Formats: sequence, C-alpha cells, structure tokens
Amino acid sequence: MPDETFDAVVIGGGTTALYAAMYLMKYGGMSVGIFERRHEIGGCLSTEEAAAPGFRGNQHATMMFNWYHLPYYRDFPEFWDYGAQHDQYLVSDGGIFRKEQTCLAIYSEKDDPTQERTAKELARFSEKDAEKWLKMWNAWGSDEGLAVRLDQLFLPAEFRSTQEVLERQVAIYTKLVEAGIDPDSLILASSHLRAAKEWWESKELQYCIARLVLTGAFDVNQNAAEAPGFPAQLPILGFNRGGTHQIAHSAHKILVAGGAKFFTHAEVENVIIENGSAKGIRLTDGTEIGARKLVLSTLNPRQLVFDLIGREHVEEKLARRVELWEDTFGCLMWYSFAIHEAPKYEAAAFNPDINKTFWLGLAEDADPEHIARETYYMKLGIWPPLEDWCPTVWCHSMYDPSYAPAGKHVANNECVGPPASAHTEKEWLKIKRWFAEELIKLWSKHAPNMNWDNIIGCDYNTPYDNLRMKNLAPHGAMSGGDRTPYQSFENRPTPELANHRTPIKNLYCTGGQWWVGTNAGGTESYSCYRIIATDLGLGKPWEEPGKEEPYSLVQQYRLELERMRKTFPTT
Amino acid sequence: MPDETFDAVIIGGGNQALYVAMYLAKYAGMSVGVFERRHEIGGGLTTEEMAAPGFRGNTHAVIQLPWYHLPLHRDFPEFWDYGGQLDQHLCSDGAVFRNNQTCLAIYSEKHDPDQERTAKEIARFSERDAEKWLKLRKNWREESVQRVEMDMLFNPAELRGTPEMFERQLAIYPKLVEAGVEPDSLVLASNFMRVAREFWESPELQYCAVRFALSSAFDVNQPGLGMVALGEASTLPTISFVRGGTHQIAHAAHKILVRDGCKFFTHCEVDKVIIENGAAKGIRLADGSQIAARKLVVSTLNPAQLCFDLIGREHLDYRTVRRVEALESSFLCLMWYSFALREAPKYEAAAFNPDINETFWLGMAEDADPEHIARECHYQKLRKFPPLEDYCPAIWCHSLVDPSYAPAGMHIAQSEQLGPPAPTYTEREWLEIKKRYAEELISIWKRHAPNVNWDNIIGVDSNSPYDCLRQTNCGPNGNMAILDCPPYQRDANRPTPELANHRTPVKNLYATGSAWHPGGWAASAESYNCYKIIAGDLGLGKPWEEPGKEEPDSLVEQQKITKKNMREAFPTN
Repeated sequence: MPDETFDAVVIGGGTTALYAAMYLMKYGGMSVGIFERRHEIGGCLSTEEAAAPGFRGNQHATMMFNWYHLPYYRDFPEFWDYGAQHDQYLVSDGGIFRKEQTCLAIYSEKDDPTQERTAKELARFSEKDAEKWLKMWNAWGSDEGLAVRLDQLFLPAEFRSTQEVLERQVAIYTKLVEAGIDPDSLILASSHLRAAKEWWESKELQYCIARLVLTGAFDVNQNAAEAPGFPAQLPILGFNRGGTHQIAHSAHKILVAGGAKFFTHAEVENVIIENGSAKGIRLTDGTEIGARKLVLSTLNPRQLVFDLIGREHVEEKLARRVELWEDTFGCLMWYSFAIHEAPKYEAAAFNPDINKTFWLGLAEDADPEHIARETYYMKLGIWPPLEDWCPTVWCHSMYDPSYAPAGKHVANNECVGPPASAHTEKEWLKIKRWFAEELIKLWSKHAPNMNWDNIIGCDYNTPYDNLRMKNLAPHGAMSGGDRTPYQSFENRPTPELANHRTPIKNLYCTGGQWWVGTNAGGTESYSCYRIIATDLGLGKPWEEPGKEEPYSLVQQYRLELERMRKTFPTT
Repeated sequence: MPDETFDAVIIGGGNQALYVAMYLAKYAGMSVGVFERRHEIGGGLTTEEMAAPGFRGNTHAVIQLPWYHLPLHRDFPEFWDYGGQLDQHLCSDGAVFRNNQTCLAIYSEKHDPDQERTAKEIARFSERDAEKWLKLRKNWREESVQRVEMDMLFNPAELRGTPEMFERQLAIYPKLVEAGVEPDSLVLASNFMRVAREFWESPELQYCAVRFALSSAFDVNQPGLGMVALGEASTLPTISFVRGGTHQIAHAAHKILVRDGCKFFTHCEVDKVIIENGAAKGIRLADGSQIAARKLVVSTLNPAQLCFDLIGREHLDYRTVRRVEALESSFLCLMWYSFALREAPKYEAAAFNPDINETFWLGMAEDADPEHIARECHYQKLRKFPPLEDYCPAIWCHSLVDPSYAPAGMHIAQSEQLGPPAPTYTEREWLEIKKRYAEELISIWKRHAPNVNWDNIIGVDSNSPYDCLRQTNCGPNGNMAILDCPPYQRDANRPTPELANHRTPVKNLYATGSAWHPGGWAASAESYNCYKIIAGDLGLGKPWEEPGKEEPDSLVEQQKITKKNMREAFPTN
C-alpha cells in the first residue's frame, strides 16, 4: 500500500519539473506530486542574498533568452504577472578589446528592434559586416525565420523533421543565401569558430559570437549545426526582473492554485517498477508513493538509468552510452561582487553605451583565438595564461533596483573553470580566493574602478559549489552536460532517451540534459509534455484554435517584447 | 610565342602530378609536361639515405594501404613490377603499455587473413572485444562493404551521390547492425575517442584505434567523424609499406611516363597560370619562360598557392577567397625521426607477446588510457609540446622485413609524433628543439626497449615541421597532410565546396593534390578522381567504362589481386 498516490509523480523540483507539472496538471487534468531533495524548489532558478547583506545574485541561471517561456505565456496567461518578467538591457551583448581600446555593443531587440544601432556600431569595424548583420536580422527576425528557430526549440526529436518543418526551413533558405549566411555543406560541418570567421570580417564580431557560444556550453572548436542561427541570439539576451527565482515563484503559485503538492527534503531512492512499468517511487526514508498514470524524472541520465531505474532494466548499449555522457566542459567560475559603484569602462570613450551592456566580454584583444585557446586549456585541466582568459560580466542592478541596495550595485561574472572533480575541497578553497584576485586584476584593466576599494563583498561560486545540485555531479557542470554534436539534438542525452521515453513504460524523463538543454528555458519540459500527451491522449493546447504552432509562438514572442517595452520602458 | 607547348601542363611533380599525368598520357593520348620546383620528382614519395651511410628512410609518406593505388594497378599492369610493391610486417599495428607491462598486437592481413590471431590477443583484455573484432573483420571483407568503400574513395564529390551508391550503402547497413557497430545519429556525430569508447571495452584496443587516427591526420577530439572512426578499426590489419622505399612508387610512375612520352622539368618553379578570357592558356615559369597548354593545365599545389599565386585574387569571388584564407593546416605537423641502429629494438613487452617486436606501426604508451592521445591533441592545438607522459609516438622498423633499408645486420627505426607548426619557433629554436626532442624520445623509447639507447644508435636524422617546409606546398606550417581533416575540410568540403570537384574558376585549369578528397595520405584517389572530372569535361578516354573494368567491382577485384601479389612476391617464411 503506497503512503500517498498521485496521477503523476515528478522526481525533482527544478525548472523542468515545475514546467512539466504545470502542463500535466492543467492540460493533463492530473493530480501531481513533486518530490525534491533540497529544502527549496526551483533548482537553478535560484536567487540568493549574495556577496553582502542586501545584495542579491542569481546563483545559477541568469540569462533569459526572449524565447525561453513562450508556450507558458500562451497556456498560462498569469505566468508573467506572477513573476516571469523578462527584461533586456539597452545593450544585450558586447565585448571590450583592451589593446585596441575599442568595444562592440550589440543593442537589444527591445531597444533596437531593427538592429540599425547595432549595424552602425559594426560599421565602425566593417561596412560589409554591418550590411550583412541587417540582412541576417531581417532573415532570422522575420516571422518565417522565428518560426524555423522555434520549430527546432519547442519540438521533441521525433516531431522535428515533419514535412511542414522541412518546408519552413526551405522557405527561409533563400533569405539566408541573400544575407550571405547560407548553410552549405561546409558550414554545416564547420566549427562555431570557423563559421564565425567565414561570415564576419571583423574580429570584434567574431569574438562576441564565439564568446556567447561558450556560454551555451559549446566548444567553439567543434562543429555545430546551430551555427547558422547563432548570431541572431546576440540581440535577444535578457534577464528576469526581481531575480531568476521569481520564475520559480510564478510556477509555484500556478501549481499551488491548481492543487499540485510539493514535498521538499524528500529524496527519491528509486522508481517502483512492476512488469516493466513504473508504478510509483520509493523515497530514501522508505515511504512509497503510488503513481496512477506516470512518473516523470528530471534528474540527470546517470541518476535516471543507474539510480532510479537500475541497470537490470536497461540494455547494455544504453548503459554504456549513459556512462560515457560527457559533462566536464560547462563548468563555471561564477562570482558575485557587491560594489559601491557600477563598473566604468575605459572603452566608454569609444562607445558610452558599453557601460550599459548585459553580457559583456572582457578581452585582451579582439582575436577569437583566445576563446579557442581557453577551451583547449580547460580540456587539459590547466588555467590559461591571463591573456587567454575570456570572462563575461554583467550588472543587473543598473536596470533592476531589486538586485542591490539603493545606489549600490552587484556585478557578476562567468568564466570557464575546471570540473569540481579536478581538485580537492581544500584546493578549491585556495583556488576560489586566487581566482577573485586574478579576475579583479583583469577587470580593473578594463574598468579602473573595479578594484578592491570599490568592492564591499564577494561571493565565490565554483564548479565545486555547484555540487549543491546533485544532478550537476560529478563535475558541477552548470549546463548539466556538454553540447557536443553527439550530445545535441536527437542525440541529447542519447538517441534512446531523446524522445523523453525510457525503457520503462509510463516513466518519462526530461531535464537540462535533454534538448535544448543548458538553459533555464521551458523547452525540455514542453517537448516532454508533447510526448506524454501523445502517448496518453492528454490535452494538447497546441491544437486549440488560435494556438497552432509555430505561429502562435511567434505571436507570443512579439507580445513578450511589447510587454517588456510597456512594463519597463527605457528611460 | 611560348617556349614550349604541350596538350597538358602539370604544375608540380609530386605523387598526384605523376598519377594524373599517367592517365592524361595513356588514356587521353595527350602530350604532357610536368614542371617541378625541386631537383627531384616524387614529392611525398621520397626515400633518402639518412641517419648514417647505407641506411635509408622515408622522409615523408611511409604507410601504404592496399587500396591506395588500385586504379593504377588495374590501368597500368606494369605498375607493380616497376616498383609499386607493397608488403606487410607480421603485425601491422600495435602498442606497448609500460605501466602494466602489456602490449596489443594487431596481426597483419597477410599473416592473419581471418584475424583469429589478433582476436586471441584482444581476448586477453576483453572477450567481448575479440568477438566483435571478428564480426567486424568478417563484415569488412565482404565485397558489398568493399564496394561502398571504393565508391567513396574513387569518385569525385559530384559523382559520389548516385542512387546506385545509396543503394549499396543501404544494403550494408543491416550487416553493420549485426556486427554491433550500427552507425546511428550519435555515432555519426561522434569523434574518434567517443567511438572507440562506445564500441570497445578494452583501453588497449581503444588506444590502438585512436592512435592510428593521428597518423591519418585526424584530431581525435573532433566530432563529426564517427563513420571514419568506425572504418579505421578495420584498417589496422591492412597497414602496409613499400618494398625498397616509398620512392620506388615514384620510379614506377616515372618509368611509365617516360615510356608514354611525358617530359619532365625539374628546377622549374611555376610563377603563374596564363589566363586569357577566363581560360588557362599555359604557365609562366619563375625564370620568365612561357609554356603553352593546348588543352589544359593541372595544378597539384595547395589551395592557397593555387588561388593566390597561380590564379590571382582578381579572378576569384569573395567567398572562395575567404574560404581558402580560412583553411586550417596547423594540426598534422610531425616530428619524424630516423635512427640508424646496430640492433633492432627489443621490447620488454615481448614477455607478454614476443611478436610485438615485429610490429609495423607501434604505439608507445605510458599506459593504455587513450585520454593521453586526446590530451596530446589539445596541446598540439595550443602549439605546445605536452608533458612526457602525454607523448604518444608511433615507431616502425622496416629493415626487420626489407633488407634494402639498412646495411646487412643493421637496422633503421623511425618515429612519428605531433609537433608544433613550423612558424611557432625560429630556425635557431628549431635547432635546439630537434636536439632536445631526440633526447626525450630516446628517454621514453628505452623505457620500453632498453636496447634503444645511445650506445646502440649509429646516427640520427631529425625531421621536424620546420624541415617539412622543403616541400613548399606543406607551408606555411609544415603540415605533412597539407590540410587538416576536420569535417569542414573533408569529403565534399575538401578543400572547399567550390574547389572539391577539381575544377577552378578558370576554364581548363584543374586542381588536385593532398588537399582534395580523400587527402592526407600518399594515395592516388585525388588524381584519379581529378582525371574522372577532366575526362568527363573534355570527352577523354574512360578506362572505368571499358568491359571488365566497371566500378566499383573492378577495384574490389584489383584489391584481391594486389594482396595476392604481396603474398606471392614476399612469401612468409
């Protein structure tokens, strides 16, 4: 006799768990129980008081692309009001190049919807690039271009190559040819770096693109089918008002209102399997929870296969593939600095708006080879020399007062680091301090006011600290898993698991290790729900009149930007 | 008025130049002139006296695979007798692993056609791997599989996607599944490391499979090469060399060409292709003389030389220029040493398997973890020598099986290892590095084979990426494969999609070389495929359409004959 029973039992209480639960509850009409090991739900949607009293930082996810939550806004109209409020800086992405004393600012879609301001900046380096940028934006920013991108994002593998999807791709092809960024056989086989070098003349733009690639847990030296659409991501980087955790609150409110039940401090031991079918879960304290219809795991593939299911239920090939899952690359040094004064960059002499940039790369010079080299060093487990460090920094408090006490600021940074397993606890303690000194040394070369006199406090977050989320273990990779071509698209996490089904009937799976992955968006859970709804005949909002995809998502994309502009007008 | 006129003018006198000339002379009936900058023809097919008097080594190409010259053997029956003679060691590939005092020997096809002996050795590490090895072997020997291989190797890009070829590919798919090596989306997107780990249990076999990737000019960490990686395992038993030195192949080609009336010009550097109204009319040499071409000019130089020196930017579109500028050639730079020895190396691992002493392509590894190779590749990309424990050299000793390589009773052993590209250091620095590297290599080698020490060494010849610049088409980095082989520089992308079919933006100017598909080796596919395009464009003789020479079957048949020749000419004693 189970101690409690739900229609759907969700293992894990992180981002993708909450999102999937929302659909199961509202559109599947199910009773839902969510079981989380930690004291808190939300997983990587986490905002804590960090660095000093009154300062807040996002400990994990911080970047919100404009497309992250589109179906949720459509299917849960209260989602925005409850807290999922994206906003953009004036400048979405940029890089500062110290030796050249220049900088490149990519203005946000919110403030530069036609990208003409960006093009003007690009023209200072290359007229040809400026012209191509506008054509690129015209192609990918159009409804047709957006539709193609959203197809790839919000469909599970088995629905991604339908006739209609292919036709939409073919339709956009001519626009890409016209823009000079058509994906021929060479480009499709190219590394991100090679594609950036091929398409853009200016090293400054190459650098900005390659640096954002790194943030996506891609190795810039590896081939990636994502390359053709990648430049269009630069103007659409946003953040969440009030902290990323507000999104978890929003989901939580919706779930509570709909009757979902939450259990924290409730670690799941395994899935109860009878005759090859999931019947519920067993918690570490021995409690058994029955699942009438399904169990959904949001843990990582290793936890799923070896802990929750057990090897005896899994074929050798799948077991081997899960053992070989690679997750040592997306490990990050992620620091928060409580500061008196926001960073003032010397490069502001070149373009004052660089001070108002969200995702800002600090580079010794504009050669994207630094990023390639940093990547190789990281693969070898060696810290690169300082000139090959490629940190990115941001400062939400410039736009959102909730992040810091009045008149003060909190600035954060991301920089690739070695996997947690590379060092002992004691070594990490040392490294954490050493890294802060090195980083400030570098940062102050770009912004002289970023020195220790300006710093009130510092919070050190390393791959080691990331182990607080067990599903990021054993290496503490924030992305949950590297995005190599053999761990992307229909290979993520493996072809056998990519469609969210498992070898166990009624046991489904999703999480940051599924496609799209490596972000705090809602794609993995939405795709998972599509599979579940298809298998079990549940409600399909995307089939409701007016919600047909991909164009209802395109519409949501436009609406979101309008809301952003209206709610948080640029001063 | 040109100083001399030919139907076909060939720029460069390396292996691809000789092969394409052979077809133009014999099957197109053209008069052919070959123009070479150096004092000697043959290019990468070079064997020199080195390390000490009476010792000979191959300074560039050394590995030959049985498929390398199949069309030449078929279309020029005298090619074998004139010098294109392959042979194999007892073991064609292997590695010694110092820490656990083991080794793995992959027996050659010649000595172990069914691979039972190899499987027995593999079984000492993993029964499962041994079983899979035999299945894979059986699979690869099937004619249906070899036909697919020939399709892919001996056709230029535009002839590679016919419905018949797709059908042949589909037909072998169930066989791969049966052998347990199904190439699904994950495998296709994988790198060598991932494929080796996915298919093989034993790190020893993983190490051998991954090490050979380096010798084929692949970065083992580069994704998108899963299918190549899969095929490479079945290549290991076929690794061969040329009796009498790799240069014998150049001699064979030379004899045939002289007979067919071809004329050779050494010390003749070509300055430019003469272009009139968008068509190639001939060439201008560095000394100012002009050579006219009645029908065509073929360049065998690298793509940058072709586009920027021979043609000139003004004749090219922006995209081609940009792509050629972006070509990557800094990976396959090699430290390539020759040691004249009194005594062949005797490995301590021979206690585990005595045959390891008679291995051709032998990896020396600190332990059997292929991660060492992955790390060496990362260091190479950073243009640094790795720490000694990540050195992954391969070594060989032809004099074990071919007395022509060394004086009686003596031996010559050679080595290959990645090294930084030539421009990383100055001439003076290279001089120091070359000395230091010899010491380092011997310090590693003697830990595996104690008799490889300075008392046993009569002389050393040090060949580095800097020395590779003697062939200017290996410049600027001294890359032995001319171009690296990431997925964006392979297949239909090699060297770029615009040039892959051997045509250039200039009419009647064709191009080939190691920078074309399949590339990176001393094979003949690059020139044969180029001739296929030329023959199609200009309506020349097509031997592959002659009765009995239909492809891919005639090539599959030829491979059997070549292997039979090897066994009959050099019987196992």
